[in-house]
Amino acid sequence: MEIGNPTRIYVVEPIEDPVPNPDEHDGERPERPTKEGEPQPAETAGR
Amino acid sequence: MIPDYVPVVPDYIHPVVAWRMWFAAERSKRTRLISVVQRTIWPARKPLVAECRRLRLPVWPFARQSHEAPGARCACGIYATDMETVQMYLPQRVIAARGDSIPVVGRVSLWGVVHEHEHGWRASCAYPISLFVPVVDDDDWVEKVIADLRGYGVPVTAVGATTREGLIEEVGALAA
Repeated sequence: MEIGNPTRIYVVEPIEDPVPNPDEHDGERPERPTKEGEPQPAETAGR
Repeated sequence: MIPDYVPVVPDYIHPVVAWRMWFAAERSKRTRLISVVQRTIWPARKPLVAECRRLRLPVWPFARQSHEAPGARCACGIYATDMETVQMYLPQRVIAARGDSIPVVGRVSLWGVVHEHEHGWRASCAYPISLFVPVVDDDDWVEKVIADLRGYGVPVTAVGATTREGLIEEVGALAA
């Protein structure tokens, strides 16, 4: 897949529940506050 | 040039959300998502973790060193991008014949080490968020495909578009 030249590298904290739990969500994922392609800064500074 | 240095402390707490496509095809009697280029089978209910599959020949003097994926000097990793780029990889006619691979479009979460590019990302870990499947017939095969894909535990939406332009337009409207 052609995605152009690299621009930067970052580390995203593992998400707690990457796979939905059908018992809790009934197959639906909760809305994510994140806009597409724009991850939220970590609360912990110190990059 | 991006250095190999990767910070240990996370830069972001929420995953990157982007688009990608797969083929849905039967593997071991169940319909599974399969990567377009590497033909990786995406496990259900388990994150996909990237690994570099570049051929390494020990006697070849220019062989690349083994590394964690995604590597800064490699093309490995789990890819995701924008809708415009996804469209370029879809077949012109997106409706599959019974038993064939079906092109599936969807959103994914990316996390771990993420390499940002001009038009997309390469990540170390990923899992689908939602899936859009172009189908026209409502027969038992289509029902099985949809049911199997729901095994990923994410919303699966059947869409009626037959062309790639129609699929992108319909998915864009549904996802808005």
